[in-house]
Amino acid sequence: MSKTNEKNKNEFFLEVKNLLLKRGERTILDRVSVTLPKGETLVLMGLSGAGKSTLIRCVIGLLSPTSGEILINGSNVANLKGRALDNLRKKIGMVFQSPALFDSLTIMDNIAFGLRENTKIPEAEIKERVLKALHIVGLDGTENQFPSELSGGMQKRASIARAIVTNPELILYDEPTSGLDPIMSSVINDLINDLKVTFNMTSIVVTHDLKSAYAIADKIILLYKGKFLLIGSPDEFSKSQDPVVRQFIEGNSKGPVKM
Amino acid sequence: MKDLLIKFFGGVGDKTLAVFEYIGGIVILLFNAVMWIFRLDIRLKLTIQQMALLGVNSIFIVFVTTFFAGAVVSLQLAELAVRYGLGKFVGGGVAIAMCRELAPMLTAVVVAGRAGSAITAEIGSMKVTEQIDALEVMAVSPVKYLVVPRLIACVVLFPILTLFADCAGVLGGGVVANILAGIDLSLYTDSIKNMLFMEDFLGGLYKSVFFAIEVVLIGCYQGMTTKGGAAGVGIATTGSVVYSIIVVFITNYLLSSIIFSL
Ligand SMILES: Nc1ncnc2c1ncn2[C@@H]1O[C@H](COP(=O)(O)OP(=O)(O)OP(=O)(O)O)[C@@H](O)[C@H]1O
Ligand SMILES: [Mg+2]
Repeated sequence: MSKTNEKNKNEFFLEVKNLLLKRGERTILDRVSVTLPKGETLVLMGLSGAGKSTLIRCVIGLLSPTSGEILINGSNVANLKGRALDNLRKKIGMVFQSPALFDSLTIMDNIAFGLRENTKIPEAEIKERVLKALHIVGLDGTENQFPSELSGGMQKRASIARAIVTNPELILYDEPTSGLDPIMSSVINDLINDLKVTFNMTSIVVTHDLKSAYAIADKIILLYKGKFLLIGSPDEFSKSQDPVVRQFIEGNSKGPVKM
Repeated sequence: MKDLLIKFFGGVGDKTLAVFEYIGGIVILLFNAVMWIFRLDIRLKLTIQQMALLGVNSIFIVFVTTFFAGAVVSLQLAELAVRYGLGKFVGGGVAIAMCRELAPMLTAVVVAGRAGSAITAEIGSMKVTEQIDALEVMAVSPVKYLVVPRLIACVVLFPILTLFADCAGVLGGGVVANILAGIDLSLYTDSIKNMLFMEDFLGGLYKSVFFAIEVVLIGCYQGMTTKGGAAGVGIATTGSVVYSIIVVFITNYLLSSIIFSL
């Protein structure tokens, strides 16, 4: 028994256990559980307002669950405070649904922010890494501009660059491809896969884009009415006969899900 | 009737609770800020930036308001002085009124309107666009990064602006005394030298340090607790100015009764 426990500890990088989150009277997440091994990509899907952003905000400790645990490398996020929480957060990157770029800083300063604050890497190398990250997301030559001078999709990509530039162990993407053209979306999908292969990065990706989901996911979750209606591989997801899943995949306005 | 009473006292109770919660929030914010200052984890560049920004923002309006405040005190005193032949008290009267009360208070009120509102609007819009969350996620304390530089900037700036306001008020008073009441400028300055003590002048500066802390903490707290988009930022900003002015007036009375008690 204890042996398997130990094994689990090493195996699962991220473990959500019986997570309950209430906001006022409303239950947003209703005792959900999932595990994610290191180096895998979890795609989180669900209707607008289902609680996807809420879940990843819990993962990084911006929201405290009502009950239940989120373990990252064995430590419970909700119990961490101050320096311990900061140390965990330094290993996590996050792409917000709104780009959340610092609008008083240039794109260069935005993306360099984490490296300058949390590492002793020399400035020249930081600049080099920032330019490389910008190149990856197709934003060459924007480093001296301010976020307000970029289009919505460009801001989104800058925020992806800001999250990946620190080489975190875990990245949380909240709709990374929303507002991007189909080609750029594919570039971002490839980026997520490349990071997984090259750095063994673990990712949680919230998306509404089925094509992206199939391209990147090791595991797909459909969050519906506060529960994980389905947890499975892309294959299991696409072949599911559950009427809600079917309606979701086919994008029907008619079916068990009423708007 | 009974329902009405319950509702009334329930409402009063809720409001009282909210006030205590607010004060608690401010105290915790102060505590956090002081902790970063003691750790000497201070952003010099940001602090100087804030000083320049908030100082430049406020200096003109501080000059105008206190110049005319000095002028109006002088107007009242000079009229009495001419009537009763007490011209040698006008300069001292203006200077004492300015240094003890008017300069520190008007400076605080004006800066609350100018800089306090700017602080709330900036931090509040960062809050509603998730930039504060982004700071936290990148393991950078918003208190260290946003509050401490503004706090230090204002604690340095307020006494300087108040000193400047003292001068502007005395100048305004002098101009009025000279032109309207024909009081000689040398009589005016002699009167200041005879009547104004160092304590009057320093007391005002001490108070201004308290006002700085109040205005900045209220401004930052309002910003960091902003909810609900652009409309929320507007509400938070108005609240920041109103609460700051109320708190400055109340603490001004308390501080004056301690500092200038006989
Ligand atoms: N600050 C808040 N206070 C109270 N309730 C909130 C707050 N933010 C979100 N909610 C509620 O939580 C629920 C989940 O919101 P969340 O943002 O997690 O949805 P989502 O799945 O990310 O949706 P979308 O796909 O539209 O981004 C929503 O129904 C919303 O009403
Ligand atoms: Mg969302």
